[in-house]
Order: sequence, then C-alpha cells, then structure tokens
Amino acid sequence: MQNANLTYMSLAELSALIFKKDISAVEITKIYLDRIDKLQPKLNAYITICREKALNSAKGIDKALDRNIPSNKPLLGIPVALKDQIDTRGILTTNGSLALIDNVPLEDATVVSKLKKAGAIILGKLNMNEFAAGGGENPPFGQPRNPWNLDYSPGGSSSGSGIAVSAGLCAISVGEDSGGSGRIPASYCGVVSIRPSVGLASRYGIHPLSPSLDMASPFGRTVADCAILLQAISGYDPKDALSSRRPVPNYVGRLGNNIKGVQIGVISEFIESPNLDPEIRAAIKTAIAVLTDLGAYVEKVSIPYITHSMYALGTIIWCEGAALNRHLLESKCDLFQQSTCLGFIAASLLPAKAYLVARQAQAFIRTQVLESFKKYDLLLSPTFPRLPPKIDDALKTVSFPSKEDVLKRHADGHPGFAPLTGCPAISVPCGFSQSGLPIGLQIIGRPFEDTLVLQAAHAYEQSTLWHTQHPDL
Amino acid sequence: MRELKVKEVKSLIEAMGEKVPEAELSLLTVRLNGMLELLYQLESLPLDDTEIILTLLMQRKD
Repeated sequence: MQNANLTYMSLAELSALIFKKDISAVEITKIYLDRIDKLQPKLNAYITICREKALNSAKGIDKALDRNIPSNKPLLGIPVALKDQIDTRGILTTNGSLALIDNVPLEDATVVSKLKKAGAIILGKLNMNEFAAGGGENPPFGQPRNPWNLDYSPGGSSSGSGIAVSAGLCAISVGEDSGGSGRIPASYCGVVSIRPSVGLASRYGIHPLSPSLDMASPFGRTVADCAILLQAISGYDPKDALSSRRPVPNYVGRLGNNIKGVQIGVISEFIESPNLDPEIRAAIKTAIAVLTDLGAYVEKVSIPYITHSMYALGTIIWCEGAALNRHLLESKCDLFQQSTCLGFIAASLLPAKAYLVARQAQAFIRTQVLESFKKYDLLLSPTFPRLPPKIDDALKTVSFPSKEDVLKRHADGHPGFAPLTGCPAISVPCGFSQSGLPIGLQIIGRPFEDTLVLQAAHAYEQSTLWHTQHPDL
Repeated sequence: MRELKVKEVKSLIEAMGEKVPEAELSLLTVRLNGMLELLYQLESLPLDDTEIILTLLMQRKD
C-alpha cells in the first residue's frame, strides 16, 4: 500500500491496522511526518512540528501494544494535530501571534489531556490567524494555502486544521470555532468539522478569543472520524465554567441510525439570498434531494432576523477579544499584526452599550432559532455563501476593510447563528465548483442533540462520494 | 449612517488614554467605522435604539 493511501485512511481502518500490528505506531507516525516534510513548504499548515516527541509517544504506544495492554481505544496510535490556540505542555503555543513566541505552557489543555489519555500522538501545532481572529489570510506565521488550489484561501481561523486533514498531514485535528473558524476552513478544504453544543468539550487551556462563543471543534475527513474525536474530547470539566454535566452520548454507536421522518428546515433567508453563489445553491439543492431520498422531510423555513447573526457575533467577538487581550495589547502591541492591534484598540473604544446591544441581538436571534426547532429537528444551510477567495484578492481588503467590505463579509450570517444560539453545527462536503473548489453543507441541531446532527451528516455523506476525493498534491 | 472622521477618532483616543501613532489613525478610523457599521445593521432588530451608541461614543470624546 502506498504511503499516501495510509495517510488518507479512516480512523477505523488505521486503528485496525495498528491493533493487528500490520503497521506500528512508529511507522504510521513516520509516514505522516515525512508527508508533512514534503508538503509543508507548499501548504504552510503547521507552525510547530513535534517530530521527536511524536516518535517517542509512538514508541511508547508500540511497547504497550506489545504487552497487549490497551483495548478498545479508537485513538490509540492515531496521529493528530492541534490548532496553535490549544495549550500543549512543553510545546510552543503561540495562539497565532508573535507576541507569544516564547510561550511554552506548563500544562495541557483538557482536550489535549484527553487525547493523550486515549493514546493519540501529537504531530504538531497548526497555523491560524492571530488570536483566532480572521479568515485565513496573512497570518503572522506565513500564508497557509488551500490544498485544492494553492492560489486560494483555506479559510480561517483554524486554517491549519482544514489543510492538514484535507492534505493527509494528520489523521484528525482539533481546531476552534467561535463564529465559523472551524466550519469555514472545513468547507473550503473539503473536510468535516463540527462545532459541538456549548459545554460539551472543555475549553480549559484553549486561549480565549470570545469566552461566550469559543468551542473546540473536531476535524476529520469523515463524519465518523469527527464523531470518534468528539467522543474522546467530550465530558464534564470542573475547570471550565460552561462545562456541561450531562452524560456524553455514544455518538459513534448511533451513527448508523437512519433519518427517516426527520424534519429538516432549509433556511430560506440563506438559500434564497442573492449573495449566495449559484454553484453553492445548486450543490445544496442536490444535497436536499439526497436527504429527501433518505426519508427526511425537508421544507423551507423562514427565520427573519437570522441574517443579522454575524453583525451581532462580530461585535461580541471583537469586544470580548479586546478586553481579554488587553494585557498583551499594553505590553506587546509592537509584536501584534497592525490590523489586530488596531482592531482591539477600536473595539476598546466602543462603549459597553455596544456590547450589550449585540448581546440583546443574540438573545433575540436565539429565540427565533429555538422557536423554529419546535417544528424542525434540524436546520440546513450552506456552510458559507461564497467559494474560497483567491488569496491575492482577499489580501487587498482583509486587514482594513471598508465598511462595504465589512458588510459583505458579515452578510447572511450562515456560520454565526449556531454559536449565538449554542446549537451544534456540522460542515460536511457536498460538492465542488466548476473550478474544483470544495463546497460545504451545514446541518444544525438543537442544543445537545449533537447525536442527530452527526447521524444526519453521516447518512448524507455515506450516500455521496465527496468524502472519498482528495486533493492532488 | 454617519462615519467618524479621523480627527474625531484622534480626540476620542486621547480622551480614552489610548496611544496610537499619528500615522495609524486613519487605519484605526477605518476599523472603528467598520465595527460601528455592524452595530448600525442591528438597528433593524426590535431592540433598544442603537443610535445611542454613537452619542455615547462622542460623549466620551467630549
């Protein structure tokens, strides 16, 4: 078997090979590390590559396997990569900023502790926008590139997570999603990412951008891989004030359930928007036909003010980000990117009333969305209304956008309403543009009904072949 | 909606005790006006009058 095929295997396939000792953890880790060495100069997915630590961990896993100690551990020996927003003990964690170039945490984030306990191997830390604020263009550690076309943006801020999973530079990844920072790069790079219900996975040790909205977001090439990863990182953590005490359901075990009779509302404000790219609209309509064939009942639903989601979300994120990073802004502003520095200062100038209005808007939109869930089990929309932009085009406006650009960027609100409402939302590949760029379908569920979201996404995915396609690198 | 001018932002940051190099004031103004634009869009929601935000902002300056 060719090494590239191994790096694109599902977790179940890879795990079976490791348990049968058809391949050792060291061998698979080396294969991924070699692929990273080969493709990193092209894609710039990683900020830090942990070659020695990863190989040492893999050796430990192989020794344990020789003693037949582990059993039923789906992440045992699986190489994972983490957004550089997530604290890793003894490994540089920059949060995407040169201001934290010396930051080596003394403690792992809870999600990292859980991954290590599950036997996962940390390959490295992934590229991202500074402080997780941005869309994938011009981050401080070099321009990350879309594996499907290097001239195009991979999306952000979890750019490296989308790229690394798409290009086979890790098996799975943990990113972070405050307002689409996980689902947008997943959509742009043709992979799956779920933003789980608020409180499901601990945020402890994940550098906050917007504590009321931040969530760890699993990335995988399939829904099943995301479900396995979500299963591993979920659960109550007393170190996170928003952590839920609910028991963690068996996400993986229920993936195979059919979706006959499931009521799905397609958000008409998004699917009928003049801002929606026609190729994305066509892909979503085809996806709706697939879901209907699977037995789901799909119809349009209007949620009038949902289009305002990103306006509220943008205000909340900048206000919270500015307040939280105040100490860094005062001590190390010269190491910030100019756009981030001035963005935080601008947000600091807003009166508290601005933040309160945005929070009022959040409550208003949340009420409308939850009302729609009285009739529908799931909501559906494109993950993002536009195809990935060319990097050169995006760079012209990304740092200091005019108010017209600001409005365009925040129009429609597709990725914003799930974080505002605390609902789980997944992006799953649903096609390609004529130019060969991936398109994402977003499925949203009621808070803590992540199981149904995964189930519907899995049923859709298994009826299509999008997840079997990989970029030609 | 009304946009803040560079000189208004300059007096605002002075009143707030922020330090921004003169050369960056126009970029800061672009940033701030972008954020205000998001808030203006929320005016169509049946919430409190967001016009008050600009008023409050100017009061800070004064």
